[in-house]
Amino acid sequence: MAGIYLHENKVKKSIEDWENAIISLKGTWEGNNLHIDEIVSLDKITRSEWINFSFMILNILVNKFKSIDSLILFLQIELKYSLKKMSLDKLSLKWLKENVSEYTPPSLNFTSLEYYTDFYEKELVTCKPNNSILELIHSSKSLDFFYRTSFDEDEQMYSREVYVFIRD
Amino acid sequence: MGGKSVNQLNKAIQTGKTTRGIKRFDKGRGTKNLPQDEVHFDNGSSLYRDGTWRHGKGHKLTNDQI
Repeated sequence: MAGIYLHENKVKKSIEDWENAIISLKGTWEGNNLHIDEIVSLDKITRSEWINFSFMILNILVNKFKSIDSLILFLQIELKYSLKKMSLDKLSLKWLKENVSEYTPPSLNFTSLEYYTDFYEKELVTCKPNNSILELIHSSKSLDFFYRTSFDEDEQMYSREVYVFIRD
Repeated sequence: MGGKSVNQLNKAIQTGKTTRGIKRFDKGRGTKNLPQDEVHFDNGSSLYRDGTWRHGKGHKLTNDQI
């Protein structure tokens, strides 16, 4: 799978360009999300590959890039809409792959500690990944998993997202 | 976005009932990171609902895309 798309040098350069663009904003960042299909050489990635590639990219980011001062890196995974309100205590790789959005690939994001505390910490609910997910992560850093669900008036269904925050 | 929801717009893309050059629509989450709905184009650029280009990179829109 990885051999088809993952040109590691191109991926690293693309991520580096994205990080540098955020650093150059000097704290005035806004809307800095990078969908994984926006990374150079991953534009043809398919939905069935989104989850595995997201964790692969996360490993590259965490292990091969210096962290940006005062900003927290996270992965946001949009899920399919649901007619019922979701409660998600445990998260498995199989479930994530089945429920990932049909349209929007996962995205990498940076947020400030201040915005994390003011918004995400209050808005998100903790969930626990099982071994099938943890086996994909090769990092000594602490990863916190969360989810969020809210009723979407436009769709008349519940929107759902999973978040993975990387903490030093 | 013509009064349709983001899901309806994405379904229209899958059935070929939308403007050429559009890859997908993404839902904004009202957060600082995902403030507004977005439209992604085949050439890699993407536009927010308010007409500003994401990541500062844009292109000239065709009449159909406007």
